[in-house]
Amino acid sequence: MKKTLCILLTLVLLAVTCACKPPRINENVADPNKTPLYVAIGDNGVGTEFLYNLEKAYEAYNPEVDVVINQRDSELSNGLEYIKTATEDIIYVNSEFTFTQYGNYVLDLTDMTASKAYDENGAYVGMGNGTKSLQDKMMYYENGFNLVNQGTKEDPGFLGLPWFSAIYGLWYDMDLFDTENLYDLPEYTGFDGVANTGDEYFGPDGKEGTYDDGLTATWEDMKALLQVMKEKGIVPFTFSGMHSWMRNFWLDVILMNYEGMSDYTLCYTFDGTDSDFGEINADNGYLLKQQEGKKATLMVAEKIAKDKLYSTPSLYTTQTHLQAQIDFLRSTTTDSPGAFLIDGSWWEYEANDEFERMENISKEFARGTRRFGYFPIPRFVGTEGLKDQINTQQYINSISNFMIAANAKTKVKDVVEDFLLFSHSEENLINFTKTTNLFCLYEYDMSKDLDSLTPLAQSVYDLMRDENVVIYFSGKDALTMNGYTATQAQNCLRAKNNTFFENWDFLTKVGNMNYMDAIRDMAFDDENELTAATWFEGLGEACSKSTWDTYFG
Amino acid sequence: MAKRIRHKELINQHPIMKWTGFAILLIYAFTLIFSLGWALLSSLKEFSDFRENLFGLPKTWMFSNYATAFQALYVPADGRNYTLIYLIINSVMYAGLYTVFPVLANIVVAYACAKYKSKLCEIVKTVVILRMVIPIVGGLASSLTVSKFIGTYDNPLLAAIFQFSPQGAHFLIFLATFQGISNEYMEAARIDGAGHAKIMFSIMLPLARNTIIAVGIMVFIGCWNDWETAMVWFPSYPTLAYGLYRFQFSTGNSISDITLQLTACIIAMIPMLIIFMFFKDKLVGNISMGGLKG
Amino acid sequence: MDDNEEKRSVTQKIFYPVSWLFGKCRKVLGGALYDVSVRIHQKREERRGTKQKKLSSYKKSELRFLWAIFFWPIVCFFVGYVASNFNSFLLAFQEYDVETNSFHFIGDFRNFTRIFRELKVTPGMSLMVTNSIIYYLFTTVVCGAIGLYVAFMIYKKVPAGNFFVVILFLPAIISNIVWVLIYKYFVEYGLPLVVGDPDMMSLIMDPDTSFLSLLMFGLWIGFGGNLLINTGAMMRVPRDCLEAASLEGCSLWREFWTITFPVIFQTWGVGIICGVITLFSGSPSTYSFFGADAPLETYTFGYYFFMIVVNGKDTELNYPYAAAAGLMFTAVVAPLTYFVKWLFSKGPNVEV
Repeated sequence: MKKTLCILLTLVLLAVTCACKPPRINENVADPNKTPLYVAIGDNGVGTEFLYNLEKAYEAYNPEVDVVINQRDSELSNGLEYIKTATEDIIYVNSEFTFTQYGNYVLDLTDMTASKAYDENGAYVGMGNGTKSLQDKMMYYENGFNLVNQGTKEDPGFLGLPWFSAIYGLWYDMDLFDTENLYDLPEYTGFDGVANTGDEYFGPDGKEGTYDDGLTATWEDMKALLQVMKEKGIVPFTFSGMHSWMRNFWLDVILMNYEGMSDYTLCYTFDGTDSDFGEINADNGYLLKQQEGKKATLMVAEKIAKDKLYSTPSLYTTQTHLQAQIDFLRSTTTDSPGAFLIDGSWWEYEANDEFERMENISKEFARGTRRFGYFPIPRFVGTEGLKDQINTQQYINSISNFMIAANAKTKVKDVVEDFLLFSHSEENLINFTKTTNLFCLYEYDMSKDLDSLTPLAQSVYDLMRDENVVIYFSGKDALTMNGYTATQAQNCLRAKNNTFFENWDFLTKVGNMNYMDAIRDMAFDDENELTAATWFEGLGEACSKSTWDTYFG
Repeated sequence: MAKRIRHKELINQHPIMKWTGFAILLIYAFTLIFSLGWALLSSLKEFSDFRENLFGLPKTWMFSNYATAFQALYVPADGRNYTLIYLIINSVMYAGLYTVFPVLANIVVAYACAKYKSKLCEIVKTVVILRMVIPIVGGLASSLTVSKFIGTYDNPLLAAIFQFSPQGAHFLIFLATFQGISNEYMEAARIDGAGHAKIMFSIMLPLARNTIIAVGIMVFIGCWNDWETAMVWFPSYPTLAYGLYRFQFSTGNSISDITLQLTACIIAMIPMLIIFMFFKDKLVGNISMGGLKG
Repeated sequence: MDDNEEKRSVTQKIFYPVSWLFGKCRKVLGGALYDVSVRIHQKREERRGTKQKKLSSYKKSELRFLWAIFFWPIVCFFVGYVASNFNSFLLAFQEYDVETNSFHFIGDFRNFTRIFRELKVTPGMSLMVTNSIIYYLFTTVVCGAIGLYVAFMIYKKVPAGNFFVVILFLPAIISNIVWVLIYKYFVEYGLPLVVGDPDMMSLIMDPDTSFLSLLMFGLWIGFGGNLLINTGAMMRVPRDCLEAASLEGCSLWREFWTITFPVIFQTWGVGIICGVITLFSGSPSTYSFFGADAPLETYTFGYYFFMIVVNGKDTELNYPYAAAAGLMFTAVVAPLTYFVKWLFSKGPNVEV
């Protein structure tokens, strides 16, 4: 009897522990006297401070509504999938603007975005009471508009709104460049390859008085800069070892800058004319494996890898992007300071804890005091073994798959629309940027509030407004900048054959081995079999005609 | 005397092999103990201290890391943040359920097969052994589909109930154990009027107590240490082992701190080391297994 | 009238005798059948009586007890094993539709041919074959041999043997993921300091050594693998055999090879036979080390098919492919297992 009781008790205890769970995160209860508006947000590196500020602002504007914010880190880690079971009315989510599976679950926001709800200054005046619509604001960044638009230009359709945009690329330590005199090096030769001819010191755009003055105009100049850094004991590059996509993403930016929009997007549609190969279609698409821009990219990878221009932990599997940020920031107190960090512009907000720790060492290390800027991709002109780059524009990669979507099942559609329009007023967009130092792809004027931004955010602001700079979206999303609608981009040849094109761009075959990660594989190549030349040659072998025909023949 | 002779024979007559074996095992023991000691020491450091002073003593002894670990480390799942305490609770729940049900199944089925001469018993024994011997590869996808269909996916209690099926080497261990217990106990109890259930629970199981405890503890430890099952089958019930796996890839500032992760490792191993110390004799004693002939 | 009478008489003349005959036959047959049925019934009654005499109440209770014990395990077996494996067959001929979140039959073998296509096209797939074989041979041959050696040393009462047994148990007591974390952080941060080269590159990241690093990790924590089983088997060696061998000056190696190993051969072989399945399902803790981002050179079949089933969004898309691949692998592994079993059956089989 006792034993039976003990056994039963054990089982009951075990069953009870099944029910033992922590409380739901921010399981806030709505005020029963007000109309509830539920908002879900995940962990996207921008925090939730802006949302709580927005909550207060909206409740002051519309006292009959109670905005309830739910943190849904795990649910929203799978992107827009959560919308299928979400109980919230609005979700802030990291997701591509692809709605194939979710069309029935998201609220159509087309009418809302077309409604004239803002005055000339961008202030929210209520639906139909203004002169400007949200679409007008989005059109300021036409590329962003095209990315999000699920319809056509004549008949747009919006199932989600852009949330924010982050620039991905190379960030340099401006303070280090100042103290070590790394601007305007006498070794620079500029576009003509000759020193002291006046074109060396205005950066890749060649224009005086822009963000890139004093920085390297060409790849040859950058090699000189890297050499000077090495001699001074500076460690040029820091990046995450754990996430290979982070360093390879930057290589994609180099590729885009060399090839330009037309040739870059050809690698997704396989339907057009390439400047090197002529007519490209589904039969001969494999030729694009060896676009000249890949050679340029591989030269950069080879230089970084073979000359060991990276910090040793950058190729540790345990080096997360957070640790890369910490290493980069802390290196300023060591004998081997770091010059460049490969990351997205959100990194400064993400490394907030480290900035606070370093502020204890010295106030000059505080966030907002240290200066960082975007380092533009130099032009490949006068590089031996490489055709001169034709494209002269500076393409900067915008990570824009951050979306605001509304639940089709919402019972408070009017409030949802009101809130969304309110949150995109001039004041609230400015507040978002002031809080997060990140920008949104809408028209709003930050010029009077620039001092509230960190130097990095200010440099991004200047960058986004530079005449020579084009914000682009990587992958198939780039097609929306080249005349394709979002739906057409989602149905391009490459998007429909994900498995075949995984890692396609840099996948190579050298000897009997396949390689994908240029910087890493070249760094560990003791036998010197992997060079830019052999890797480039192997690109063709990795996707030969017969391999191509297996899928598309 | 025979024991002493054997002792001499075993040790003194093969000194080279003996000391070579000793040296190899000593080196191996050193690597394990050193790595555990290093992890313990690192768990008491700040992250900057860890990077700058990898093998030295901590500049500041951060015993607070253990308290911090319970607050700062968490796994987000099902709209909740499972901090270490909840991960431990889930581990106890999962290990408990997945020890009780499968081990009990092995015990009762092995007992029946060992002690009863019946066609049914023969069939069951054959099927269990065949199941062990016939290799089936790649059943995970199908098992997930079936599990989602019958409702055991993400439901540890129901899933454990459906684990009530004999499998693996433990069945053979119990089979050998019960076969080794004399039938006279059964017969004597039967003569005294005991029923089958009474014989099993009151007489035979207590005789196999040591084996049951040893196997139960090993299974419990195995379940406590298993992170893959929690990840694949019970995503809403993250366990401590799964938490350790996730922390290394985390994008959260505090969670990605290496010293805190090592602190969590120390916290995870302490209960198992305590259990092992208490039950060492039972675990390390001989457990023989029936053969797989035929 | 006359015609009708004529017809009637024809009818009577033809059919009356026939019907009379039929009726007679029916009577005879009916009687015979009745007799037979009575006899059958009697026999049944006799048998029932005999059966009732044979089945005592104890036997009945035994049957009830056995069924009570076996009922739920049999249900669980059918659900967890039979249904799952049957569903594998069905799944291999299906496709997942992300828009309707359901599987539907496709009725062709594309899931089966996909692996051959991917072997040709997808990078790293051909390397998987090599890595899987290397991993299997490493765990069975190298780790198996080392496990035997360690067990033999413990069995031979090496000095501080009890202490070493506790140490050898530690990897089983402490979670694999704890060892992974300690190993990773030590190899990348600690090893450069130990060898005196702070710029030493990570052995785990290096394509030439990453797979080897994982194998070494497996060896490190599997050093005392199957210790209990091996030592338990070794203890079955008769003491007098060992004493006789010792008296005749037999070396330790000779003793192991000629006496101990033949006795434990079949027991040791069980692990090798059951381990054949790791050819397609095993991996050297790759997922613990890298999650879904393992470098190509560490891929094995076990890792790849685990990863595509559990990692990321819409993994159901890969379920049919994984099921088809699993069936093909089973078709390879099953005969291979029996072949290995047959090979082992040719080896020494000493009864003690």
